[in-house]
Amino acid sequence: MNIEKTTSIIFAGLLLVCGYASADVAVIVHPDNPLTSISVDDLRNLYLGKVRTYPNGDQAEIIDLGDGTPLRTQFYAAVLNKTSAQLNAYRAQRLFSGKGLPPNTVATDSEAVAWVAHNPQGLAYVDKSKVNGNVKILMTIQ
Amino acid sequence: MRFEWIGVCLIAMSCPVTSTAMAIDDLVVSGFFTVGATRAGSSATTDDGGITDDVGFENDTRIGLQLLTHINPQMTMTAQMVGRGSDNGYAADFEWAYIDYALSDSFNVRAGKLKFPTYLISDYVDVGYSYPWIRPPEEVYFSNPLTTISGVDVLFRTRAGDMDLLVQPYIGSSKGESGIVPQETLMGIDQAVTNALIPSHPLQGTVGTVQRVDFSAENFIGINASIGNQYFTARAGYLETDVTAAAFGVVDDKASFGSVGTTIDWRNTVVYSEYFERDIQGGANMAFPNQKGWYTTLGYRFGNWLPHVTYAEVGDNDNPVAGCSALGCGVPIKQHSTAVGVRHDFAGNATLKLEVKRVSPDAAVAGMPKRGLFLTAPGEDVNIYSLALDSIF
Repeated sequence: MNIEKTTSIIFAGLLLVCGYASADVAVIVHPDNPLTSISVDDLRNLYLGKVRTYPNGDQAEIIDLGDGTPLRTQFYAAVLNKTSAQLNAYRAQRLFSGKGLPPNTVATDSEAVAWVAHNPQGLAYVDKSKVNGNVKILMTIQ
Repeated sequence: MRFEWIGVCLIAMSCPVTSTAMAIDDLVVSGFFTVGATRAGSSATTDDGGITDDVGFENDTRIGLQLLTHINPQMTMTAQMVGRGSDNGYAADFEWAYIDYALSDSFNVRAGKLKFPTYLISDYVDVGYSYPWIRPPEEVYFSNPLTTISGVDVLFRTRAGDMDLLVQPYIGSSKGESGIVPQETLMGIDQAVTNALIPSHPLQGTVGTVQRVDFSAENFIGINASIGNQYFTARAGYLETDVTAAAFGVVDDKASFGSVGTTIDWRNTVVYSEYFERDIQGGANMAFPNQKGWYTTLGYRFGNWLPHVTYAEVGDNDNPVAGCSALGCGVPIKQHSTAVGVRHDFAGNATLKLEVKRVSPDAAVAGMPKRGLFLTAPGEDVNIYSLALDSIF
């Protein structure tokens, strides 16, 4: 009985720690973008600054969310398998040795949706619930 | 991390792209900052005077500011200034000042003042936030007192499968540099001969101490090549240059560096390891003898904590004992150390680091003072305690 009690306390504790409900993340582009899907590898290479074009060769402009936002943490854990700090260190190495600039950022995913809706080359990741008819979903990450 | 005004905003109805107060037309402003405290556990001073047995804030404290602007879609101009606590009054120096011309997505030519990659992290060594230690192992990184050239480099980047390849050749020159010279060299040298050869700079140092020497490096040519993916990078580099040090009567003596290194960041395991060999010919060998050294760092990431341990060693690289110059040959530095440290990423753009390094200076030649990379031989192993806060903006 004691064990049971202890176990339930631990579970309650775990629930508190892991209680943050993760959202469905949608990777979105402009409706005019001819792509209908994108691979995790292509996404990773875009966000690591290793490629600057879509798989079909078109120029890509990606946008990032601000450091510390839960959606950003979730996206980088899923696509890059990296923490925010690891990614920031990687980007600092490139930025300060002249090997590449980090992507531009917007504060919220609503702004990201608006930005992609106005930018035919744009790509962003947002909470799926924020997606509207002005953008197209290429991928959903649970 | 940076703020910028981009043309896209003009198209969009509002301007959603982050632009804080200092928005200037296409100017990317970014920077980095380290504030660090050091203390040697026993009566010892490092050979550059940076760390002593008093708590000091100068050795690691520095601020860097980088400005980047587009000249046209293919060309950018970058300036990076770094002010250091170890320089009088944080006088800021340009570490980078160059124009980058992108011939394609995989081919860049850069010209101006460049930080060149002798080793793995040489070209971002000032950005403490970007690596695990408070400073990279001295046993390897001390060996090239030169970190920048005026010249040209090429970044050729391509991908093969999931591998990224980089080939980076560079050429240039550098004037007005300063290096630390071990005075063990004076062993066996006839002081009268020395003074006759170098009247302006009599080598009156004491064995087991150091002296500074000004030098320049011309016909500087090197190459850096790396291969890697998101989990590891392996690199190799080679460079050579002609060293001139007027005070030593040294003119155009050949100096070369070869190095290999790897870094791994897989699952939660972090590894850094590098090896180098330095070869210096002629009279320059007296000031900069042939050395080789290596280090390995192992770390394991627990969430936002990265504890790590490093072993490092520097020693003789078959340095000649005679025939270098009328003054003789140099005497290589010998030292090994073990360091434990932890990095804690406590905020998005800031990290706190703590390190304890136990340094064992060895005698360059049996019977000589055990100086290692200290100003004077400490006479025992030395613990160096360091604490630093690094951030980027």
